Amino acid sequence: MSIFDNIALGLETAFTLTNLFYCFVGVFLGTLLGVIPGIGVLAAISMLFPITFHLEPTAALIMLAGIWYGTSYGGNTASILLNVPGTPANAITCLDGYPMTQQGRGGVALLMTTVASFVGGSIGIVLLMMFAPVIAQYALSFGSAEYFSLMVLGLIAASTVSNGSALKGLIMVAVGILAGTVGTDIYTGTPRFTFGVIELSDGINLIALAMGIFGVAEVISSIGKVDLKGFDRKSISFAAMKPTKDDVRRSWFPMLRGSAIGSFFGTLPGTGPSLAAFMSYAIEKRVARQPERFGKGAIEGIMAPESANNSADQTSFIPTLALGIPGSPTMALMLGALMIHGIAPGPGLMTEQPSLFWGLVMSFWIGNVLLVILNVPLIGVWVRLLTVPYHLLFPAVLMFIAIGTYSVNNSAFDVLLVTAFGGLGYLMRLLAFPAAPLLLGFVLGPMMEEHFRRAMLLSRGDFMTFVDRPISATVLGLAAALIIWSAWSAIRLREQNMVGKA
Amino acid sequence: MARRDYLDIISGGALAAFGIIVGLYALTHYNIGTLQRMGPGMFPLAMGGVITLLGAALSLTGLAREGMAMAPVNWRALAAILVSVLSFSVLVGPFGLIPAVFALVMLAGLSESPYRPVRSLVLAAILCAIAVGIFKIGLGMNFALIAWPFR
Repeated sequence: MSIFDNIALGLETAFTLTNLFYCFVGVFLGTLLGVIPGIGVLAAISMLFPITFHLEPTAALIMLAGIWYGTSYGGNTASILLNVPGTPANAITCLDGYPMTQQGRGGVALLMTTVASFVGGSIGIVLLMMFAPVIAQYALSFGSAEYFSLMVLGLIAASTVSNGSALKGLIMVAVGILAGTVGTDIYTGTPRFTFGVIELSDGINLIALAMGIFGVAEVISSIGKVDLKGFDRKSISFAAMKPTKDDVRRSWFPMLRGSAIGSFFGTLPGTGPSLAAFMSYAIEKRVARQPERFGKGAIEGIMAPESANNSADQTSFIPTLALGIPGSPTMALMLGALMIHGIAPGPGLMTEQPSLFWGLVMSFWIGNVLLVILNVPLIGVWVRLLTVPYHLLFPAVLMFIAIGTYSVNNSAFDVLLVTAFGGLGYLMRLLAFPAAPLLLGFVLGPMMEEHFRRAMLLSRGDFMTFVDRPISATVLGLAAALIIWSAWSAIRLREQNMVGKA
Repeated sequence: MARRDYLDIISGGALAAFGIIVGLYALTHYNIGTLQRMGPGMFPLAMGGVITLLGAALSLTGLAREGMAMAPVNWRALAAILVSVLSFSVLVGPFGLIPAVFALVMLAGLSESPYRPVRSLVLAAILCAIAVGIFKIGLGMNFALIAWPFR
């Protein structure tokens, strides 16, 4: 079947009234839940998952997919306006998005990120359509050594991205990885660091950790400091959302670069929107002519990551559908949905169930368009959310965080963890330790360990396997280069400072 | 002002100590195994080592550099918010959602001076209604609104 036949088939499937309806429902609910801090993609999908049991497989997948990218679309609203990431992938958007809000440019940021997400998503979908078979083949040749090295590169990139000291970033990555080891070890079944607490045998709940370190800590730091009287109401109107020509000019390349990076990372299992967003931010910062602008409201700092995470969202379906390997916990849920409906995802899916695959792909287009339609008029609504006085807003945020976390596993223990991580997160802020690398280390740690162990097993204890294999060696070389580069620029900066003071 | 970053020195030192403790714990409690067949303890040990090394490095860089003073700690907010989320986790299981939300909101309100109990109460009621509306009715989630665990 030619690609045009497939597109036609897909459109036919996607445009049925039921599927359109569920796409809309998914996108709407997803955005709504994404905006609410405390409820991220995992929570949203877990909550709505049971509803999909009663639907047909295609409709179920379409709705879940709508929730998936709707949530990350909505999540960037919370990141920009409240500096609380709606989802972990949006954590990077806070870095430049929130300063823009503080400068009265929140409306512009929201509009531009909607555009960035749409562009990123569209590019991701086109790539998905063109390369799904090809990319699946390529990823098959990656062995554990390559995966491990890629994750190392990602983590090192993530720590050199945060505005603070790269050294502290690396420490946080290590702490995150350590936190990821808590739970039952996969290979041997030994419980690690559980200290007899049963609830920890599955490890620390990601939502609890993220909400504590990002959400609760943010609330604690903001009390008494958030001054809404200084908030410029003029920036809410439609006119104020209009970006300047400079904004637009600066955004093209970041969007394209972000989409490219996002598409690449989305495809690889084990890496996803969060890593894509981090990497794209890091790269933007490195190629920028004025890197000091980042962290203070540089528009490139939100456009690139948003394009990256949206295109990664789209392309993460490739390994899930083509290989049957979920690239992330969310994809695992999607896979679960398929299996419950009796469909076995894998390389055969595209040929056996073309209407499912292509119908889904076409619904992505529709979903992205729906998101733009929904979000542009609603931006005013989201921005108006900020006019609610903070002393009313923060208990609501806390409540959503608490209930959201509780709802994932019906576990009060998880909420307890939120408390603990909230305290930790606040301490980290006081001491200027970046939180995002910790989260990334936590998410990637277990997978890194698995790949490392497997690579070691396959190479019979030969450490050199990481360097012998060409792809792995290149990737590790890049990581080393990054470390050297950031150490060198840190030293240079210090020298400049000292010269300045002399 | 001394030319040392005391905060970094102390945090680096604390982290190094933490790394050592973790490493020792992993060594003694879990099977380390060999490089070829890694045991469950290997990665934690490695991470402990990394944290120790980097923590020590942080301390050393702190010696050479002037540091910033720490931002003022908002002890009241810290205590109030942590206690409020804690109370939610304690109350939600046995007593249900509504008491838990009330406790959360009322205690969180303590972080502001002056404390406005009436405002917190009203806010708690409204938020409860919203929560029930969204989670219970809208999303159909399954937990008790109010329960009495004692017989």
